[in-house]
Amino acid sequence: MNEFNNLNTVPEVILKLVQEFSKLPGIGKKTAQRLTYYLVRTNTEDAKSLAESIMSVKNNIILCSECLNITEIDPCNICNNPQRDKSRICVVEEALDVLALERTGIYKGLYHVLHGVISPVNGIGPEDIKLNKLIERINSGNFIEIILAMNPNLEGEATSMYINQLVIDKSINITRPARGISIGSDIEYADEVTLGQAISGRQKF
Amino acid sequence: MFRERSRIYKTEAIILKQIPFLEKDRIITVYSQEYGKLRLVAKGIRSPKSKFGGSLETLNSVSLSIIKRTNLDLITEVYTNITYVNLRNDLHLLSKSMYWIELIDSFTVQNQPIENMFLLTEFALDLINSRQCNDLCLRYLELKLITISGYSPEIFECTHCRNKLEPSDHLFSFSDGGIFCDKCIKHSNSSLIKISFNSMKILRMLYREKHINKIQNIHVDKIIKLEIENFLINYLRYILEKDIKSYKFIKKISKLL
Repeated sequence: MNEFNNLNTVPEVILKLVQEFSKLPGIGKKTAQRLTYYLVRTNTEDAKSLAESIMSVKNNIILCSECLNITEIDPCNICNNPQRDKSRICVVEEALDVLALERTGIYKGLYHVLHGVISPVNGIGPEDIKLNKLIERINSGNFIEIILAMNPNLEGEATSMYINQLVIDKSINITRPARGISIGSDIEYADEVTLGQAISGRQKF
Repeated sequence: MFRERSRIYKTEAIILKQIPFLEKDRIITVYSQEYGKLRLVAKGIRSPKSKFGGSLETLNSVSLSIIKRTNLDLITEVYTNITYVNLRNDLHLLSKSMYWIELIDSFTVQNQPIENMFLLTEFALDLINSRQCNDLCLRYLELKLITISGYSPEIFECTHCRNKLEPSDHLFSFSDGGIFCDKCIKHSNSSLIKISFNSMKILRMLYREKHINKIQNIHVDKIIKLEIENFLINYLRYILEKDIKSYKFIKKISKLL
């Protein structure tokens, strides 16, 4: 950015926007410069619409008081939908995971977004994620199944096992998505853990 | 001992932690045998079709091929040497191993290998995975970690006058890293922690002992165990100048189970 700063010809507002863009995840300084100069060239309507969309995300988006998913209305469309199966709850790490599961079109129950996973190495303990609200929901509702759909990595496993331990006394079915080889990949290249779990969780043809 | 990395290098390593990076990548922190702690990029690892699959999971012991780059080095090939399966299926074991890797991560600095640190890490994970790591064994591992990192406590003689210690309760100074005898208390720079003679006896035994199976079979009074635990945890906190998050997690888990 230094060589960029030295050019006195670059207006202050452009430098400011480049700086703002480079704060976004996955955007480096070069990309930020490209985006900024694209916006300079684009028509006012498009730029205005972008600015408005950014502001409305910040102003209108809230967390659903039930499932803690991001939403415009409270309770969210999923919690409010009478067609959804209210006896099942699927626990996920992030709001984006809800989107991925909804795309499958198979799951018709409710969700709970934890907004993180237990990861003491990164300084995140059970008290730092939305676990209390989940336990509160489980205690006050009539659920027959809890699906622990955390990412299949160490932190996800730790969080799943921790939740399992918290609700183990209640007569609720605790399940988690099956593990296996992804469609279109080769068994030859699958790692031992995935392949092992795929074999032990095999299904009748 | 600093070792210069060549353009393409190979090493054995233990995966300590990882954070998402860009669209499909991750930055993986490992502790390697030859080069100490390294921060590496695994390209495309978050995609289900990634060639790395689950081989770069935290706590795995792996052989890595790495390309040196100006900023973060790039992992090109992984071979899983050990997957600690029990750790992943038992919350109690998992919490202990998370505690261990947090300690290793906190005690080490990038590109500065510490002699025997890799072996100790692998030994500790192996011990926890075998379900043989009781509380006293964990204290043994902590003490070994403190020692090889260069913070070995002086528990056999007075830190100031070097005289042999009387068989009684002792006063330990974290900032001086050792015990002060009654005559030398005035020379201590900071407040002193009292530790009972019996606890110190066990600590000395842990310090001297080379074989873990002897420690597994010792029966120690609960109060003494707790005193040793508090002493070592506070010493670790003093050295690291921070709280150890996964220690709190272990405590939470043991209340649950």
